[in-house]
Amino acid sequence: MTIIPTTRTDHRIAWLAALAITIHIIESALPSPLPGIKPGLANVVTIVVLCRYGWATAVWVSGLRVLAGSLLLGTFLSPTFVLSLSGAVCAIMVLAPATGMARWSSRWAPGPIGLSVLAAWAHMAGQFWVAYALFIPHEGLFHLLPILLTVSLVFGVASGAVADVVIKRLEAA
Amino acid sequence: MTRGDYIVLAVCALALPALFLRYGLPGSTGTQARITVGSSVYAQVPLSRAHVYRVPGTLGISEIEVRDGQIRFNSSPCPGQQCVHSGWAKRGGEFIACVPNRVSVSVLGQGAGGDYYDSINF
Repeated sequence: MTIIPTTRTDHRIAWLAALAITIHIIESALPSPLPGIKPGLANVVTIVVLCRYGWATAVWVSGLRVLAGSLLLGTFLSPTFVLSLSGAVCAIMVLAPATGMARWSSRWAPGPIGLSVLAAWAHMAGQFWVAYALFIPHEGLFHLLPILLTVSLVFGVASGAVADVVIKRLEAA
Repeated sequence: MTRGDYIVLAVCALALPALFLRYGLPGSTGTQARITVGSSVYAQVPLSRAHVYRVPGTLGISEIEVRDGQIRFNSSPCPGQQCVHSGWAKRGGEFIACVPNRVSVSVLGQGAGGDYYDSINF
């Protein structure tokens, strides 16, 4: 048997992904006040990882969360998985230029809260587009968009604020 | 909070009212509802007649109930059950979707196209 050598980064990704998956599973068991909306607490992990370890690590953590989360919840390759994946892909794509901005201006680049809101809206927009393109090509679907984006703005600010606190504590430690 | 954070929040805060104006205004009480499977209309039903419709979607049968001028998903074979939890719809423009099963319900208002407006002038 050959043992694949693992790096320190691999271990870090595994630990953080495990944390994100745990939060993802717990959250899926919680009842939601509004259909179609989840607080997206696992995104706190994504934002913290993004700010501390960079975009590439965040891609791994968020990708593994969607994959392993769907396997554990039994939704792998189902429409639910397609929607979840499209949201995550869209969010991570938007986060790439947003975090890249920090390289040339720390004042104008969005911090954890701005990144979290951007990710939340990109997630919702991506899911919406895929839901419209693949499942329900009906204009009525867009009547749900304003309210869903309002709630995701609130949740985006909230999980961004949590991520901000976590990052500051980690920096102090 | 950085300046970037404020810019992101400001853009969102400006975009939301525009989206609400475009898509979100509640219409008048609906008289009919259109049940759609995928991109094709399955049935257009009156909200005045109480009835339970059994609509075949991609995953299975969605049960859609009409009662007291309102319409809702009674049951659907999807994992999330968001369509069922959406509850009753009755105003023109209101929309309930079971995305996994590709079944959707839109309440039609008074206008010909089911929109809130009888006509729009420019």
